[in-house]
Amino acid sequence: MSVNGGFEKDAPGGGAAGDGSGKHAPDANRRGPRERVVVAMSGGVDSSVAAALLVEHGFDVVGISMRLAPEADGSRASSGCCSLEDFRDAERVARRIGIPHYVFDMRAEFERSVIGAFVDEYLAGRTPSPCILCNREIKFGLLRAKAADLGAQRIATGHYARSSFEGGRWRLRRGRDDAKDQSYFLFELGQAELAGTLFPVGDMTKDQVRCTAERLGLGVAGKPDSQEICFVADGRYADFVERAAAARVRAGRLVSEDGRELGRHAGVHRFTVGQRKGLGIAASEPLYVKRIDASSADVVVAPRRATAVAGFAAGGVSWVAGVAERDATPLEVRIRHKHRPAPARVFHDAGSRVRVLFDVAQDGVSPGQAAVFYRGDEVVGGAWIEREENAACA
Amino acid sequence: MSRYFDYNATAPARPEVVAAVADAMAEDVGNPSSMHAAGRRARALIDDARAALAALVGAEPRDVTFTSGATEANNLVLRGFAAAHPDGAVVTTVIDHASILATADALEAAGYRVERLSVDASARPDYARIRALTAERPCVVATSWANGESGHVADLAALAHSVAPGSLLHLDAAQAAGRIDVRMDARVGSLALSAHKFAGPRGAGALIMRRGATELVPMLTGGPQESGRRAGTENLAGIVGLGVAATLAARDMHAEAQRLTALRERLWGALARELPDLLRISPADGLPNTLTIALVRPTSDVVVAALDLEGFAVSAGAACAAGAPEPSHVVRGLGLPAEYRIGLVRMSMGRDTTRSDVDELAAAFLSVVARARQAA
Repeated sequence: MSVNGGFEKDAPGGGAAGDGSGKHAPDANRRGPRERVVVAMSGGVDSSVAAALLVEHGFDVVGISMRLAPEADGSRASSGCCSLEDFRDAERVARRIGIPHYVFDMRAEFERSVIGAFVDEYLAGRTPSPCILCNREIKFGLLRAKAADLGAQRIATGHYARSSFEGGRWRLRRGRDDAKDQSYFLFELGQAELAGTLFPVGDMTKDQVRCTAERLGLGVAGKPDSQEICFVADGRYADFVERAAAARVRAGRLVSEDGRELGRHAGVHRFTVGQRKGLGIAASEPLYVKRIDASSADVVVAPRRATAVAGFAAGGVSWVAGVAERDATPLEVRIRHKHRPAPARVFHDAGSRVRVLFDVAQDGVSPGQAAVFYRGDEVVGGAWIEREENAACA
Repeated sequence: MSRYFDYNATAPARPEVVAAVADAMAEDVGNPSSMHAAGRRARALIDDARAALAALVGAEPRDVTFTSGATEANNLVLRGFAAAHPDGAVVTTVIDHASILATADALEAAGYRVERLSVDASARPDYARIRALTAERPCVVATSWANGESGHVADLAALAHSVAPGSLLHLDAAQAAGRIDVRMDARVGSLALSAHKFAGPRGAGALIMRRGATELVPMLTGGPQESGRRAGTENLAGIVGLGVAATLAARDMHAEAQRLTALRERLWGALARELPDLLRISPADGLPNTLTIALVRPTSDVVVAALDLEGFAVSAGAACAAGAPEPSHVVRGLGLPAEYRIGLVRMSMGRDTTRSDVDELAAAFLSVVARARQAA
């Protein structure tokens, strides 16, 4: 097994001192105590293999499973993540590779900082990105803090992403496996987070990860991938929002771009920009959600040719390097997880706001989703989409 | 040397118990319900154990019903009482053990009346309220003799005085039996206990109920074992081990209580000297072996994991299904400040704990807290 690129051991800011070349022998081969690393273990194949690889490389590995979703109490069947069954899988893997394993109850924090925002965003007519919030607040926030309490200066996750120390700073790159790349969900990581994180499977393909699990007899090689939103086990987001906040749901109108009422709907949280299914209106050509106005509860629909937008305004910008890219820098911008990054320019606006202008207009620019800025393989930053903009801004 | 500080979860079996259990399984003993000699030998072993347990708590041997443990005994009393007294009620407190609270929940869901009393900072319920409730209708007043999380010991005189005639005072003595004086006197209707809390085997326990204390409908039906209160072939090896553990506990209890009280105060002193913000939950007149504290930072999950990584076993309170520490219902029930609610740490000692074990735990605890506070 080679030491993978997503596995930087010797850069400054991490647990070990070094010149950042990444060429030193692994920590474990040095004299003195082994470096302790906390691995976030979901019970799935990716984090299981991440833990096993760290053990192979000689780290003092501690596995922690986070109890996040409120229903993860054994009363439901496995939802692909965070169920009692998954904790048992994580524990079995930990036993197999000879590391201690603990379950930490983080339901209160998760409810407060992830689920609450998820519900609020849908009710505000936006499309939330709970995994990004969870990464910021829970995995790279709370868990990293608890890891430090346990004497681990670094954590590791099973994300398909790569980090490396080059040119005097930490870089975040897409995972080697294009189909599995999860760098989109990590754009809010900064220098401190990257210095304190290992992505052991970032340089592997999913097939290689499954083969490694098989080779090591981890017993999770064939587990299905977890679904995107772990706390909505059945995938019915609208029902979840209604259960969580029935009193705040407001019915409204489906309208055309010129304001004609085409139908009624049961709540703006049932819609996402770019959505076609479930509109419940008959029209001569397929209609798509173009805009959602939560204040009037109007959902604006339009035919396909009218849904592409030239750009958007975004807030809460975050730069991996800690400093902004030059104004009007050409970058590739990804506006949802599976979106192929589109060439665009990113313009600075007031405060932490930016405006993004695509080279070619894009469909499905959804307020609430993250726009992540890439330069080739590298994530340079990102921001949260606030509204579409069609006027030229450069 | 022992780094095990979780005797309230389970106490390691004493060697004499292990030997007795092995002998009971190896010997040529039959089913106690059989007429033949092998059956008689089994009956003799069970009779001895019954007498040993009765002696530990000052009860009559015939009052003892062997069960799988205190959880079953609590279930038997609550469910059995409810079935025999449809117009009655269960009275308990918000800081009691899950085997009482969850059973009360289930009875309530089936339409039975349940009263969960709040407690004050010293774990005392409102005795006048108990008096009023038990005067109205037949109640089973079910609460801990000693609380396993907080270490508080019930004020038996006040409790017994508040239970009106016609109601049953049932005490869950799982954490008390074999550690402090547990006497089955006229004020006590029934007791539940588990052998593994006083160094006996797991899976053996008892309900001890004064004759005529109340009417009870058995939960398990089948053969006539245990005077019809608990059908099913007896757990012979477990019962024998329980008897041996009861005899050893009766012999050693008082000296152990003194020794453990001194260790507990030594541990508290070592921690409190360095950590002035540490909150002590277990009182000085509580269980001798139990020191329960709470701290704001780090949280109990970190403390338990960090000490485990150093080889020390401590607890964040009662375990849950996922194995993750949850905010303690006992801490909440005692009305402690909110910032301490996820910081409960329970260190419970026993037979093998020595002074140097306590000193080593204190040192490890302090360094774990210091490291975490530095990291913040």
